[in-house]
Amino acid sequence: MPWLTGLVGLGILALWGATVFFGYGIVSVPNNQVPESVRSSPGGYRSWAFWHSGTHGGK
Amino acid sequence: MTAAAPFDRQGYCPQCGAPVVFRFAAAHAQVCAHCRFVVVRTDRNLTTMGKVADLVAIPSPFRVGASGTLSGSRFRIGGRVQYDRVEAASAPWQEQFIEWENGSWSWLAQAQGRLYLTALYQGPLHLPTYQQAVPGTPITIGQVTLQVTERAARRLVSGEGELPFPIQTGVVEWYADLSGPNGAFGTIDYGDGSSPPVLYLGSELPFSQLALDPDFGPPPEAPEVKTRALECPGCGGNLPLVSPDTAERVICPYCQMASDMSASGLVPLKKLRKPPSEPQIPLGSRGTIQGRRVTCIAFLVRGTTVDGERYHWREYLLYVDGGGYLWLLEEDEQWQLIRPIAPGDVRAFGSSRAYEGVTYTLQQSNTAEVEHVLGEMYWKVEVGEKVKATEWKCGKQRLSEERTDDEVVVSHSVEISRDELREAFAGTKLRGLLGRQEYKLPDSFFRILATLFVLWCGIAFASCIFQADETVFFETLEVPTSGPFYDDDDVVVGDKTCATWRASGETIPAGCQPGDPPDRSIFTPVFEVARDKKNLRIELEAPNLDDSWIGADLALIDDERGDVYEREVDLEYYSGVEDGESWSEGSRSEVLWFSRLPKGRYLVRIDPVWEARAPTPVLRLRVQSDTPRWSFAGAAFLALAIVSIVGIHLDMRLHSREQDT
Repeated sequence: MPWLTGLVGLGILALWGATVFFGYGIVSVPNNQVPESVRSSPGGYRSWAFWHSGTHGGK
Repeated sequence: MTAAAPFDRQGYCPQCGAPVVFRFAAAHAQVCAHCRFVVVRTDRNLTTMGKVADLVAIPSPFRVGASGTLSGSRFRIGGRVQYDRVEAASAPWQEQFIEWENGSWSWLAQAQGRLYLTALYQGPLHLPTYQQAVPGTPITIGQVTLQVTERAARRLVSGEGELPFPIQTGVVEWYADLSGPNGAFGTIDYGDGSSPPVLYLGSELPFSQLALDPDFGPPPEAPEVKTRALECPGCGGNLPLVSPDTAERVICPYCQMASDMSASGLVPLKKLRKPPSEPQIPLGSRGTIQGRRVTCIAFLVRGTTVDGERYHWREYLLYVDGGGYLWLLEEDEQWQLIRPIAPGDVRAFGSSRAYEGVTYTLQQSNTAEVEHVLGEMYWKVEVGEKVKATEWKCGKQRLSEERTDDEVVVSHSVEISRDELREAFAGTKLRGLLGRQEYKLPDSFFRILATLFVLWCGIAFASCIFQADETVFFETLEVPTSGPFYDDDDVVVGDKTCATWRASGETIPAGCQPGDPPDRSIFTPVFEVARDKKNLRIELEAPNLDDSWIGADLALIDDERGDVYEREVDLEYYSGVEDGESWSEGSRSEVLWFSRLPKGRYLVRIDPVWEARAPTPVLRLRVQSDTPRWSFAGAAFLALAIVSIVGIHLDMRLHSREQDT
């Protein structure tokens, strides 16, 4: 039983170490993509149509 | 001492004609070695006074004719008498008549591993009658006060050698034993009641003060335990008796048949009830307690009733090699080692008692009753037998007194741990909790937990040292207060531009931004994240938020790849004073975390909404890259603690299961 505890403990430390040294955390996946056309259009990211169509957050 | 003393008196037995020699001046009678008639020496001649029975075989280091040194004085054993109790017969004892070099004489007795040396007291006496001599009665002799510890009737069984007075077998005599401070001991001999009582006064001596001359057998202080096996009259089981010489009653551990010891073996009495639990120390177990080799020979369950509730405890009788007894008492898994002491060594101060310089406070007094018994006992124990038990306590030490109408027994006890008992009886398969190896966290567990903790500290330290914790953007943002921003003024829909549609007041066609609501979104300047695949911490703070809320859609935009990471932020902060106590709830800031972001250029869009009555909020945005995340450190520590506790618990259960099997 001590060795199992040690093994699980090492696993926990490995997970934490991964967040420290490799930047892991709760997975951050991009949930949208600004098309190149929007980025290059007048106003760029400020394009009203992009931010006010489809799902953008929950407000 | 030589064989031919100057006061030798020679003659012939009037009964058988065998030569008799009175070597001791103090001897007035002698049991003829040939015919066993008692030869009495008078001023003029020798006469006989009846025959005595054959001697009972009582193992003893003392033999008539033996000599030695006791407390530095030379002595010689002239004769001996054997007695047995009238009420509880069949456990005879003997007393030796010894003469000192100076011609004086004493009685030397041996009981429970101790020596008792007494001599006739010839000073003025005011002795109580036998009826008055109840246990505890004080008797002052000179400067010393003794107390009666036991009174009983005895019957002379037999005798041998020279004696200070004639003896007659079968005569019932009465006596009372006395105990005083510092080992003082005495016996009031009431005889058969036909003459005034006499007092024999002396002391209890350790065996170490006795040295028998080598010609007369082995030294008495080192006798070995000699087990004698008897057959149980109830079940035929083999009963190995450890102290057959002192055992008076034996209760078979197999069938619970109670039997009395007799010269011919065991005499069955009746079957007793089986104890509710097995003795934790099996009968016959050998051990070493405080340097003394002991054998567990009996087990008792006793009980008392206090305030209508019945309490039980268990006692183990230990026979000490060389003679004497110790007791172990177990109640609620607490153990005490009990040693009988001389009642005279205990002094009374009101309700307190003092022994060896320690004062004990009265704890309780009740009636203790024997409920179950197994093994060999040195008295005729009975189920239902009651004593008045009183207990005094001082820390972990106790004094106990058990009193009946005819006897008082005092003992001193001290707590003894289960570990000490396990060590004392190492090699014996003990039962119950005593037989269970208590769980101890394995050393490997300690090492592993220590290693995990060190690793945790190491990672926390490395996190402080190696994580850059770089602030890549920090700014107070201006929230637009009016007018939406339109980026489609020039876009033509239908026959007009969107700007024209909005200005016309007509319904704005699809394809143009509506005029309402205004778009108050904020875009930060582009900032550089230099560290690749690291975390990103974004903190949004509204420093002027008070009794209100702010909601915001926050989007982190990868300027190079167009990836958008969208989140929600809800800030609310309320505070006030109620009943003089200030309070607050909520927070003016919130932190968002993004993991393993590729390095590059980023910007943030914030689209806030707030309560209409509230002032335009001030928003402060801080973006940090590769930042220590202490909540993870705390979570890791907590997880380690939980895993350790679960691991230890499982290990204990495994240990317990192994013990059960």
